[in-house]
Amino acid sequence: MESKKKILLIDDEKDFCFFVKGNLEHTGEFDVLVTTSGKEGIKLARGEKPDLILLDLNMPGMSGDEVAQILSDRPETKEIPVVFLTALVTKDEVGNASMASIGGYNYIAKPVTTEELVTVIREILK
Amino acid sequence: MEENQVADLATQKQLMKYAEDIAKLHHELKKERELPSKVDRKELKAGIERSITKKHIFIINLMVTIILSYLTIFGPTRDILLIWSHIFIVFYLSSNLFILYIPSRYFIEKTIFYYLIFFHSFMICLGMYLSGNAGTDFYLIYFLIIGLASMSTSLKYLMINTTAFAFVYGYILFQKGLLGGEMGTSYSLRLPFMIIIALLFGYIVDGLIKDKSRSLKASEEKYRSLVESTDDSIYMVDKNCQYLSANSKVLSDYGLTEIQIVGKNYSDFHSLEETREFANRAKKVFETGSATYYEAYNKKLDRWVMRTLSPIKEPDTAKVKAISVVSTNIIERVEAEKELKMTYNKLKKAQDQLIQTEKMAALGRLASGLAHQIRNPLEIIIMGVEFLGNTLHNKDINHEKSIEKIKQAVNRTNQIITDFLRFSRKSELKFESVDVCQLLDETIRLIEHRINVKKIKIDRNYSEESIEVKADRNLLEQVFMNLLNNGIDAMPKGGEIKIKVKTSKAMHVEDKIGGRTKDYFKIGGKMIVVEIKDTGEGIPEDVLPIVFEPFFTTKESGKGTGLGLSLAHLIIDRHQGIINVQSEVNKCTKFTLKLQPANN
Repeated sequence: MESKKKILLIDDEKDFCFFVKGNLEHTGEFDVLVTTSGKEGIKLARGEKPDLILLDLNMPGMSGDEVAQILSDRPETKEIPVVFLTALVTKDEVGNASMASIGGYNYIAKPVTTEELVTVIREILK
Repeated sequence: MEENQVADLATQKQLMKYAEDIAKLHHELKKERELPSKVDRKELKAGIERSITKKHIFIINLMVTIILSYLTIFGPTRDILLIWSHIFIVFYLSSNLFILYIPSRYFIEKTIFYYLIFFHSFMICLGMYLSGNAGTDFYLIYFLIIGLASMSTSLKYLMINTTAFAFVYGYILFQKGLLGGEMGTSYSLRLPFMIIIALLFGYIVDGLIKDKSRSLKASEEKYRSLVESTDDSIYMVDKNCQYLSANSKVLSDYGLTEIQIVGKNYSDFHSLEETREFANRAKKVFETGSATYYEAYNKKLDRWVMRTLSPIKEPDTAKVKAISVVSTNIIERVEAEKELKMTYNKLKKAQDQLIQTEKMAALGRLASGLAHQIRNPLEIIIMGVEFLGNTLHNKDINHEKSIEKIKQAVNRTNQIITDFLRFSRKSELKFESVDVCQLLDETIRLIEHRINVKKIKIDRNYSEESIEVKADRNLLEQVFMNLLNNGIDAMPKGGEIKIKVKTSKAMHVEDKIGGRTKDYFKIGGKMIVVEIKDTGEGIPEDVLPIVFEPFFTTKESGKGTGLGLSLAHLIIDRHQGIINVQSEVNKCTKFTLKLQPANN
């Protein structure tokens, strides 16, 4: 049996984090770590070395792109793929797969369903 | 006897000359009537003669009648002629009644006046003959006639009349044998005396009249130069809109002489419409007696004019007898007004554009904020119901359905936000060559399910296999999608959507088609025309102008965001294209897109 992939979700919406964790883990494919702060997220990334990071772009305090910058600067985290979650782009703008790669990063337009999210994660981790 | 013959011959010659003069006079009068160009001269004389009123003539006439009757009744003749004297008096008195009943205006007529003088002269001669008063001071009554005749402007006529009278009187004296007696010299002196008095009267009156006419002429000259020197067209017309006179401006405009224009109808120089308008206004001036003015376009002269119609009234009755028209060229004013209107429209358009840009910027800020604020909770809802679905025990079909419904509602809400974001955002367009027919087919495939469900027939009419436009593929697809969806929504009971694509030439000046730098299409330039026509319920006329406005929708709640058509309009405008709509209620709606060709 294939081992579960470790996903780190950094989003300031606590409820969103709770539901995403529940839904992704329900698929049986993922272990999900969640945090609502950028700083905590960086710490977790360095400690837990997740396979993929879901990162909210628009957060109070340290914003998503600042977090991504720090992660890419650190040798131990720079290889971890980062997927931005954002409410500011539309699905058409990020393409039919609800995802776009701009400047080396992947974007997912909110709102997204579990099915769409899983498709994207699988695609990246392939 | 020989003397009598000489006298007869002289009288005959005199009478012939008199007849000749009368004929000349008639000829002159006729000429004056025939040549309305001399209206002013005639008017001048008529003005002078207007001083001879009916009242004056009547008083003198009555005086002459009374004196003549008195002298006739109480004259020395008491024989068979008496009865004739009475008849003469009755006839003469009745002539006063005749004068009383003749309308005033006839006394201005020279002919009547001259006949009246001639009549009196004749009657005095007859009276003298009948009463046998030829030798008395009866003849002095003729001086009243001289006084009356001198009121005329014609000294010539006065002299003719007096000479004729003197001859007749001389003949009567001769017949009565009064010239041969001891008083013969005294009697014969009366004749030159009468002529001298007539001359004197004539000269005095003529001098006075000449003075008056000189000052009138000067004043007339002053007004004439005023009328002639102006750049305005001035003319007079009668009740039937026939020209009575015209100033040199009118003549030079039409290249005619006054004789050619006078007597012609207004319609000879103006279009039917202009004549109708003018006749209506002239009629009002005749009826009301007050002036009016209006702006009109003179087709023949190709100019805008301001026409002022003023009544010319009879001095005695105040009845309108003619209309004076002053026609002022207002082309410069009209041009200036046009220019002003155009500038105003341009400014208004610029202002509208500014407002629109400002509105869009505000909408953009609002949309971004809204998107973030609403999409996050939407995300929680979606994830939340999915979580519920995953964790719910004893899940039944109703739970599944409910979850699906909630997810659909979230999607709809998200669609509104998406449209709103797109509408307000000015992202960079990615222009490329797009095969418009192919793109239409692809769009139709995307909504094929809806088309089949609603039993809608699609009729494609592409003039060429491949027609390429310069466009952002995704955005143009969005426009086609919105228009097709609109058509489908308009036909709940099914129908037909006709799609026509053709290459065309910009032939007519419309909004954004013309020669200005800001125009999207130049006249004669190539454009791609896409028509999407449905056989749906149509759009009411009052709503048609606002279908492209944001948040306007006729669809029931939840079915439309009110942004579809405005988004289409915005996108096409950003493609430097034009979108129009035509509709007939319960019949059809046609959207016409004019797009830039790819090789432009």
